[in-house]
Amino acid sequence: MALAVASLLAGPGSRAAVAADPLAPQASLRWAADAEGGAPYIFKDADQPDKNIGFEVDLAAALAEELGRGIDFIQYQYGSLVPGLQRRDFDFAMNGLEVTPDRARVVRFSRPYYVYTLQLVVRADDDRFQTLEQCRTLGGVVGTLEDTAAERLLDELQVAKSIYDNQTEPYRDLEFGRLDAVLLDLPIALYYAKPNAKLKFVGPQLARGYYAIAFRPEDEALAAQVDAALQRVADRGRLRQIYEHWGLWDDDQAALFARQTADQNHRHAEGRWAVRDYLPLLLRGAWVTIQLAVLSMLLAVTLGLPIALMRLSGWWPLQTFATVYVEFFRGIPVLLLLFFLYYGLPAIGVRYELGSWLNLSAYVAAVLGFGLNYAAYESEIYRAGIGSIAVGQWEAAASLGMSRGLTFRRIILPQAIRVILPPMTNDFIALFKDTSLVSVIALVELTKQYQILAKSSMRYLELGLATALLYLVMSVPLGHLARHLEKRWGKGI
Amino acid sequence: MSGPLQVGLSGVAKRFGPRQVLNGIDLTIQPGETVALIGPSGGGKSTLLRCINGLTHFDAGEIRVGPHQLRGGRRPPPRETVTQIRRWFGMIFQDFQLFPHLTAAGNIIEAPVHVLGVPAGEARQRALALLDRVGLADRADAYPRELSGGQKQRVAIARALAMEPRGLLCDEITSALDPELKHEVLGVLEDLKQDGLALIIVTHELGFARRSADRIVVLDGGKVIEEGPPGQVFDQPQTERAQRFFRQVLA
Repeated sequence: MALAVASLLAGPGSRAAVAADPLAPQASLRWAADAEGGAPYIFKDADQPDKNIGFEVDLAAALAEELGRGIDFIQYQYGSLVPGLQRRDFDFAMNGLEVTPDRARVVRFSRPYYVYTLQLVVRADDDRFQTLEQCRTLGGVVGTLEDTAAERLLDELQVAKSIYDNQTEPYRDLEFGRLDAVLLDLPIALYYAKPNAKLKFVGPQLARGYYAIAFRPEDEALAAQVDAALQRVADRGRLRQIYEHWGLWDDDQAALFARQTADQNHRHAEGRWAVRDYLPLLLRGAWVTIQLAVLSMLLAVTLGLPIALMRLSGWWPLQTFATVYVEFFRGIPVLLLLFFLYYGLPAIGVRYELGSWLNLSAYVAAVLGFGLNYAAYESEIYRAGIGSIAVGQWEAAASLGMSRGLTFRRIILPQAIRVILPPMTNDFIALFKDTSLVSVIALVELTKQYQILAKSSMRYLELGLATALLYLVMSVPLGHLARHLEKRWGKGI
Repeated sequence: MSGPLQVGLSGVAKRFGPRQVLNGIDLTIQPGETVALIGPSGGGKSTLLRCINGLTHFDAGEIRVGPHQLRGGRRPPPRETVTQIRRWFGMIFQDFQLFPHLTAAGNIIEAPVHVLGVPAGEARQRALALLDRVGLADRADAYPRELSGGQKQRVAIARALAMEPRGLLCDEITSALDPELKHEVLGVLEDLKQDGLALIIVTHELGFARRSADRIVVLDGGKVIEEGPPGQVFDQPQTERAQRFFRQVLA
């Protein structure tokens, strides 16, 4: 088990633990962004789903050329980019991050690389709303992205809002009538809403602002290098080329051209996706899921037994500890636990100067989180299983001179296993599915991989079926295994 | 199996909630003596047996088993003393309590191997001999669920004998058996008595008690109400309560 954990430390989520010096010129820079439904900033190429495309991908390539060093992409939850930067999971974030006073306090922004505006979009057949003011007075609900300039504008104008964590679902919900309007950055609107005949742009472009690259304040030298590189990319006309390519060049004629490009890209995205393109990526996600589930369950099963024994010990300090443990970890959402382990512990480490060992990698945080959480459930299963064995078995063993420990090991546990195994297997199967929560701490497992691929390709159904099939391939044999073991170990009872 | 096994109880009392189950028991059992504890249900017979080998801790009085001594009170007895007493006295239960995940032989060798450290091969040889002694030489590899009640109880006796005790505490060991199976178990007990094992038997088999016991003790309401050789206790009970008990069970 220790070996397995060690090998995981080398896994994709662990880069925080081995942060290279970003100023060492030979090292590649690590750039974080969220490729999940991230068009036109960064998203999956429909033809080569393991390749990212988007105007920020092109910009990153141009910057890499100017800087003379590689830039490696890291998939990261959009909402967690700033904390991820602080915990040194990567060197910079470039993902349509608006320059806001709040962010500017904690990160060093580069010079802006894009001037954004916000675009209000409504259903084509809906003439009620032309402005946000009308949305407010008529009580329309406006969808937008979490923690964006658009959200803050809606708050400022006191318009009813509905918050999403990705940019495709608001338009989908608008189309389905779950929303009255969507307010998002113009590039997003151009890519996702403009080509959709059921939706239309209304009102003026709003709330002009800037996208910039976020660095850690202490990486000033690196930020200055990138600032200069951005300047050169713009001076050579490369920036215009890129933006024109993505239909983002910000003047009226360029905008006309932009729409066609976005249309093309969108149609393109719905194009030909073959199983052999996305299956390897789904399998990679499934492998992460298996690792997380197996290691977490091992931890839970190992930890659950002593907790159950403490609860059965009859000595009140141990009983109290075990009861508090079970109630606590059973009572808090595992999502909260994951957030705490991944983002909270490093903050504690910084505040109390405890060093960087609290910067758990995403893998370790996930295994620890699920392990601690499930240990509470498993300990209750152990307790029920042990309690199901008649007191007479303890007494018979005692009258033969067997100690309590020996009795437990040789007489009680072998019988209790049969009672313990089926519910524990159920938990194991449930854990396989629960691991999908780890996307919040920037691990890409099966469900997250599905979301990324589906949002990029718009193929929710086919990919969904393929993903479901993979989950079944993992869980159905487990159920069979449990029944087999039940039979084998149940011999004689 | 050497050394005298004398058991002495004085003033043993035990209360379960509001119920005074044992109310000052004084009793002496001589080495090799077979004693039958009889009396109405709820009279404290099983509790007394469980007190002797430490399964139930009593409130007051004391119990001596050979050189070892248990004292009643709040403090549980030292584990070491209890373990020693259990080595002197094996115990057989009404509901057998064989280990269901082990075979008959497995049940018998479990404690010798893991408590006494007897090598597994040697323990198995002795287990087979013990099974032969209780008439089950051919069932060594059967699991408890494959055995009849009488066979289970005989395996339980062999299991207790494997620890080489000087006596057995038998807690209504034929009560769960069909009448035609009782005699196989009682027959084994008679053999053990011949071999010189001390037997303290809680039983409702009055015929067996009269035939095999050296002494009869009648318990009622947590007290010894009648005590003596079978002929005396059965034929000329002194107390009115004992007379009533015999009238009821013999009716």
